Amino acid sequence: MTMEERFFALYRPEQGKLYRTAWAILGNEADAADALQEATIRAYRAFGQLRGGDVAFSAWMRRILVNTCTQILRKRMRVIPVERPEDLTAHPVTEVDLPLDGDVWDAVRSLDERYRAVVVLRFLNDMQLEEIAAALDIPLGTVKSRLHAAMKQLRNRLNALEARKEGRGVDAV
Amino acid sequence: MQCEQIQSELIAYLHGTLSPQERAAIEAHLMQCEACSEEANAMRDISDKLSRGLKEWVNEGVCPPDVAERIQRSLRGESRRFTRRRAAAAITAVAAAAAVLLFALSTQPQFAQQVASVPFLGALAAHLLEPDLEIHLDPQQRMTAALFRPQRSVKLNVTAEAEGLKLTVTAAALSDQSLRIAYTLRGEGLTLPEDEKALMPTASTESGPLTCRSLTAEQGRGAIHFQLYCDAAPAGEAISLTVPPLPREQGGTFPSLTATFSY
Repeated sequence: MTMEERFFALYRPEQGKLYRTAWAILGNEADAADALQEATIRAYRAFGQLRGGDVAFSAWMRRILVNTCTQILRKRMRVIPVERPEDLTAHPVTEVDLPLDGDVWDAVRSLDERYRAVVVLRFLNDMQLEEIAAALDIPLGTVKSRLHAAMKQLRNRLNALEARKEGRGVDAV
Repeated sequence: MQCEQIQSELIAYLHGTLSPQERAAIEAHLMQCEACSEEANAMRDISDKLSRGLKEWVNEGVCPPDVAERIQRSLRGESRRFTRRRAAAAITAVAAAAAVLLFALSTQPQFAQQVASVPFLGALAAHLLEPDLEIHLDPQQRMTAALFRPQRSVKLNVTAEAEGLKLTVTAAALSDQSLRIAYTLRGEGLTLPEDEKALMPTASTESGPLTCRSLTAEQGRGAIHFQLYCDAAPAGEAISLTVPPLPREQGGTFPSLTATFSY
């Protein structure tokens, strides 16, 4: 088996998950595709340095992808003016804004970028708050306040959605 | 501590970033304050829901085929660049050894076969000669192709052309048992097929088909240069080389072409 074949044998089963991880962090599919391509090439170049055998591949590859994505986010955030907390108050929750199929992802994706990134890194990638602060190059206090605000919004959205679903359920009966 | 202060610290509490003292203070408050305790439970619930929901969504993910293909293509390019870099590094690092080795290989076919069985030197010889693409129908052929030393070699310029594709047979070389045919394909928008085995041409003489075992390819400017390794043909017999229909970038395929030559 050539190195390329070995790499692909390990990589291919992960590709769908990696794609969605990048999409979750970056918020859109075009950037996710670019990030995944870049991360895959980086991983391929460093494949010889993978320690721990084939079982370590999945976590190692995901780490490279998350690093690539947070690098892109850092660059992207640099061009956005420093926020005041009130600027980040996301769109008011209205019927139109509510996710249609109740997916947690649909609720998360509708958050402001800075909220979404923190939520995804914490709950999808299980990163510690300090790690998130370092990855996004923002103070720990900002991570906490964003996470707090994001969770409040998500709670409202998901509760409203559940209530609406229950209403729909009653109608259907 | 006031409820407001507690609630602003709940995130840090739930995500384990507090000192043991701060943690104890919050826990003491939660024991006696129903409102804050409910808030903490609600935060825990939403945390679990988010974690589970996002992970499920990711685990069900499928990479769109066009993205997967783009990545595979870029990786193949990377793989070739990587091989070339590795070969260049090998040449620099062991230039003297390589020179001696290649001299020995070029002058002593028997010695070359022995060298190929030494793992490091064999691998080095293969790297130094690595083309863009190799198709070996018989795995043993990889080393044979890398160590092919012609006893007789003839330059040719036999062409066949149709619908914008030009096939040129540029050389034929004979070793003990193998024949190496070098040919070039030029065509606007000529692309490599998905299944690389579909690149494999056929070769035949009047006495019948020749068994083709290996094909190597290198992409040059506007052309792809191939070397086909097949069984040696009886001397003096005309050989017909037929390339299969190959994909065109604009869609469709180029026609199959046949060039006949003797050496």
